[in-house]
Formats: sequence, C-alpha cells, structure tokens
Amino acid sequence: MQYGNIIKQKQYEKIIYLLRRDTVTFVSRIFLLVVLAGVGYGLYFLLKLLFPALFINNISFAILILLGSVYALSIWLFFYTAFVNYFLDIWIVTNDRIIDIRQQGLFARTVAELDLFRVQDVTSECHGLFATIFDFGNVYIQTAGEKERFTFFNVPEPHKIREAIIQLADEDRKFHGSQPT
Amino acid sequence: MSFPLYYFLFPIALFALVYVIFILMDVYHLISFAEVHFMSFFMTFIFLAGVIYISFWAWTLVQPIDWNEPITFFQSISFTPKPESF
Repeated sequence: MQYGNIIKQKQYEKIIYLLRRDTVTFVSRIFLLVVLAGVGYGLYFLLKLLFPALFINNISFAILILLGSVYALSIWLFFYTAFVNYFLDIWIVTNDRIIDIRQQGLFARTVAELDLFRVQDVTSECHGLFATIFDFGNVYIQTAGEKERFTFFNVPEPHKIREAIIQLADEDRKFHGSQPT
Repeated sequence: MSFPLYYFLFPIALFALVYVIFILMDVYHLISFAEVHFMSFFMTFIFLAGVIYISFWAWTLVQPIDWNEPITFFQSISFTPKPESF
C-alpha cells in the first residue's frame, strides 16, 4: 500500500478497515455516461434525419466531426475523473485512529483524522431502497474534537462498521487509560 | 469576411492540451494517493483505450476533408442596381 504518503503509520498501528463508497454507488455514474452517450447518438441520428445536407457539405461535416469528438472525449474524461474521485475517497480505520481522505475535484484534497479514544457516539444508517437492498449507508462518528462529526458516506455494511468502531474505541480508551501520565 | 477551415483546429488543439493535462492530473493522483490496485489499473487502461479509439475514429473521418476551404461569413454587399430594374 502507498498510504505512507498520507498517513504516518505508527509501529503498533494496524489497518482494520480500508473503506470506499460502495461499488453500487458508482453504477449511477456509469448510467449517467450511458445517458450522455445516448444523447450524443440521438442528436446525430436526429440531425442526419432532419438535415442530411449537413453531412454532405464539407464545412458543416468537419465542424460536426470536431464537435462530436470533443463531446465524446469530454464525457469519457468526466467518467474517468468520477472514477478517480470515487477511488480516492478513502476512510481508514486503524486500531488507534480514523483517517478521512477526500478527493474534492481534481485539485483539492483533504485529510482529517481523529483518535479512537475521542469517539463519543457512532451512528449508522441505511437510507433508501437501494441502500437497504445492497446494504450500504452512512456512518456518523461524533467526537469531542473540534470537528464534531466524521461521516463515512455510502460505505458497505455500515452497521457492522459501527459496531467495530465502538469496540475499537473501547479498546483504545482502555489502552490510553492504562498508559502512565 | 472569410477564413480557412483549418482555423477550427486551433481551439481543438487547445482542448487537446487541456485534456492531456487533466489525464496527467488524474493518473498522478491515482499513482500518488492510492494503492496499486487491479481496479485502478483496469479503469485507466479502459479509459486510455477509449481515448485512442475516439481520437482514431475522429482522425479517420476528418482525413478526406479539405481544410483549406474558405468559410465565408458575410457576403459583400453591392449597392449597384440590377440591370433589369432599368
């Protein structure tokens, strides 16, 4: 793994969960790509049907080809960038802390972390038909820190993760409680 | 006013430049901030194959076009009366 660039893993630290949004949530992006490609094809057939002269004339044909290729390349890049954003939004749960790494567009990135012993309350929710069927949802982590709430968005098996975080937080509190001050 | 058709290729070249920058940024992010994973490799491969396919498709279609053909926007306006009006 190449997370050493982002998190400085402590010697005793173990990665328990490495979470991303559920794969099902990415399907909506694929659907959007198909719709946008369909719009392009639909427009092509409509123009061919209503204005066939556009495809015979040298100038209009050249302009149409250029516009068509720009459109196709743009939606393809949009899809790939959506994948990169999906792939780089990561939540890492270790036996010591939780790290929230978010890719916000192409040029913005935020990394936040909290110690497990600061966790006060963990809530999980599955909201909606697809979320219930495919078992994905949000996990909200309430802390005593400055950032009041950490949220894992659309992660798989949110209830199981909530239970695991509560257990890990208890263990970490015991560990920090047993540490000499 | 007229200009040759190849003038349309200048904004396309600018688009291609921006496009390449975006691809490089995406790939840089994947390499720097994610683990080596089959999924990221596969998606990058599919994406690049798609880009090559679309570019090749466009290239094949624009090959026979005469890019020196002038595009005329405004025809010259003549104020000379037509001979038949006399």
